[in-house]
Amino acid sequence: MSDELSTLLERFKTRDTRALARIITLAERSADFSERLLDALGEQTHRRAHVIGVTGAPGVGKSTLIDKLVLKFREKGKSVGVIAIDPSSVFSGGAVLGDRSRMNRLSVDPQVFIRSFGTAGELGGLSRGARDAIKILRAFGKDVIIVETTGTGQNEVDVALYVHTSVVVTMPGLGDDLQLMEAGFPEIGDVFVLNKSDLAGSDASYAELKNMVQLRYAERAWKPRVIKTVGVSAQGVDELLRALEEHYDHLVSSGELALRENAGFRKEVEEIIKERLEHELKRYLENRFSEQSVNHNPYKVAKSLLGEFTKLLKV
Amino acid sequence: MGLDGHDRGVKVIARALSDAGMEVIYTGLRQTPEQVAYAALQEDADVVAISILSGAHMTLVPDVLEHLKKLGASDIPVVVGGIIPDDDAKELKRLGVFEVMGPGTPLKQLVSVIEAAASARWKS
Repeated sequence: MSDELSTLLERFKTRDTRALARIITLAERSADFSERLLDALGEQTHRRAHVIGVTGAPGVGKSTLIDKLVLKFREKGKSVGVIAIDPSSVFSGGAVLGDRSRMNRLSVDPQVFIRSFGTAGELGGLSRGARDAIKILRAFGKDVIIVETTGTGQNEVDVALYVHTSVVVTMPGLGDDLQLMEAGFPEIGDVFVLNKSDLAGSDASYAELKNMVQLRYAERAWKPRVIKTVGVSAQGVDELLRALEEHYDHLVSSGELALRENAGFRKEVEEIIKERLEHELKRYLENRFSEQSVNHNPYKVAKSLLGEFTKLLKV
Repeated sequence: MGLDGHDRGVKVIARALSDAGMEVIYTGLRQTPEQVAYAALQEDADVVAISILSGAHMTLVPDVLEHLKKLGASDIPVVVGGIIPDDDAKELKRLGVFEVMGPGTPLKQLVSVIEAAASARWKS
């Protein structure tokens, strides 16, 4: 196994796409593999790269927009990695991942690497595999890494911790200004995009969105840009690219880049502990539940089991 | 792939495979064989499944195999479904296609063929 890792890493260093793809798979499958991998990669996973999150409700046009955005980055000579995350079925664990079908023209460009992920039971945030894929793509030397997630509320808050710039995509007619004021309004956007802005009602939606962003972000150093785009015709994509670059420059000059990466690191450690605990707890409960009879008080049973579990813990 | 405009069948199959717990990356209509091969490479696919109803299978499928080879990914098994005459099916299998399935193949059988193809790869 460790032989497999070292052979793969040799090929990885020569920019072998096959090895890159394989390493991402193995990391997704096993946390132990990830641990050894990150040891081997060391500082390389912190190579300078711009990690961009793109989130928004299903159907607002994220993939098509990313398709156009990647072309712009390519025109500037940047190599790009895309991590496209779609929901998995909670029941079967399987998934139909379709984001790639909107970016296929890109995939024959050897400087572009697109990888699809299922959410794999993760309700908010990024799955372990997707988090590691960001690091692996960074170590591989990608200049720009775009993470696409389907978000409909607070779950994108967690995703924002793992990226440098968060882009929130919406479209005309998705909600009025009151809904924008409700709790679901993303508080993590660094750039807001009103896509499909050739649709009727886009001027009103744009004004509402802009107002809301000004209100919500009044106290912050970075004032999020609000940009109108039409993904299919690439309208507004130049402006979007400029906003992304401006935000990155802001992060660097204000020192916020390091702060964000620290927050992301802490969150990730917390997630890994949670994942391990959950795994251990499930195993423990499977054995204990068969002995446990139905009781009228779940709190009491939980307390005694928790006491027993923590004593057993030697993770 | 190619000019084929039929995607009803491939979507039913994608759904069935997903229900069986697999992750299906749907590449969409009108892809080139090269795009399919690159997708398989980047996604580190365990199996490439191609649905073809256009009659162009003897051109497109060998082309996919060729591109996979060029990318150093010829170990990824290729499964073909669609309206394929027996003689063509034989020839495709001779060229290295793992299995060819015709119309009316039960979804259960399809799932087990894909599973067999995937596990053959993980053993090697």
